[in-house]
Amino acid sequence: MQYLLEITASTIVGGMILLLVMRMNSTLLESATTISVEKTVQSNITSLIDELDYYFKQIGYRVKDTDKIITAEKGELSFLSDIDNDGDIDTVSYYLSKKKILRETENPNDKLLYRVINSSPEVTSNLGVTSFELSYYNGAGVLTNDEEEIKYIKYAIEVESLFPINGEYKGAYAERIVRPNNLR
Amino acid sequence: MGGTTLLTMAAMVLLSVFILSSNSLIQTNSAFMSEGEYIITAISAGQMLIDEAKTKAFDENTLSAPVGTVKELTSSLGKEKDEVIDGFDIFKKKTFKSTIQFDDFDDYNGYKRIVSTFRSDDYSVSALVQYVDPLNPDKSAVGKSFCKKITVIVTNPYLTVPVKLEYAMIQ
Repeated sequence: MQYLLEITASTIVGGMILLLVMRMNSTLLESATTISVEKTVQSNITSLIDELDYYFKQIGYRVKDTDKIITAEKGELSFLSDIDNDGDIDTVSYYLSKKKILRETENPNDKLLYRVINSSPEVTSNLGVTSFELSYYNGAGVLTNDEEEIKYIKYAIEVESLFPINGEYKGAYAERIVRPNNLR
Repeated sequence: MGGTTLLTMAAMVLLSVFILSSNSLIQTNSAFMSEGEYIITAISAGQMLIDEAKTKAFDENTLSAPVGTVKELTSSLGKEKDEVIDGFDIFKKKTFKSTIQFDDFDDYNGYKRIVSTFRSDDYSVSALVQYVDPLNPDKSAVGKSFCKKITVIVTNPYLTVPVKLEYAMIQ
């Protein structure tokens, strides 16, 4: 009888420990996934900031015409610049896809941020951009939409994970002001 | 108490220590990664202020043309009497008051603003401007110089350590 009791108690305690270890393993996996997703999101947004800064700073490069900016809208910017430094003036556009076209991702808000140079195909990659807003300012710091008046550009960008972690989309948000030398 | 019981208890203690330390590691890693999001936004808020200050003139006396000697620069760093921003500057009508009112770099000395984002709590951004040695911007200048440094501090309830950014501007 004593042995039977001991075996039963050991089985219960052993089972509890096994459950504990399994639960811990699951938590570890979840934590590792969360960290990986957050790292991806943060890496995506910093890459996008680097790219946008790089291109926006070149607005008007080698352009003699006064109209260096073609379109200045909340969700789209088109400008002239010799972006590839070959002596020919290029037209560069940045805009966010208008509607949800990424049907294969779980996030209902992610869109594609496009870069188009001249008439080449749209360049994009799914980095989980959920918001991309542009504001334009004149030399006095007043908001303007007049392409000729624009002296600096502010952009706000938000990136989210493509799928939720515990029902929540991990994200990051950043704003930057770019003052291209050729708009001064 | 038998030897088996003692061994079992020792094993339980070891298991508890292992689980507690693993749990602590997971928590620390999660907090560290979550803070990364707030740090990115904090750097962005601080960099925005620096970017804005960079669009202004070096000094109140260099608005139209540069000056030849440091004596011609303003002695007191800060906003002028006609530039009125009380307390924290708040983003209204798609702009901060500083964007329109301030006209030179050192107007940002003592300036404070609140940056609100929809992803996290408000960020408090404050700035200090000082004359620094042009050859060593980490060192304060004795008197005036042709180099001014802005130090921007960004705080947020979710940041364990405030984010500090610096930028030196020369005439």
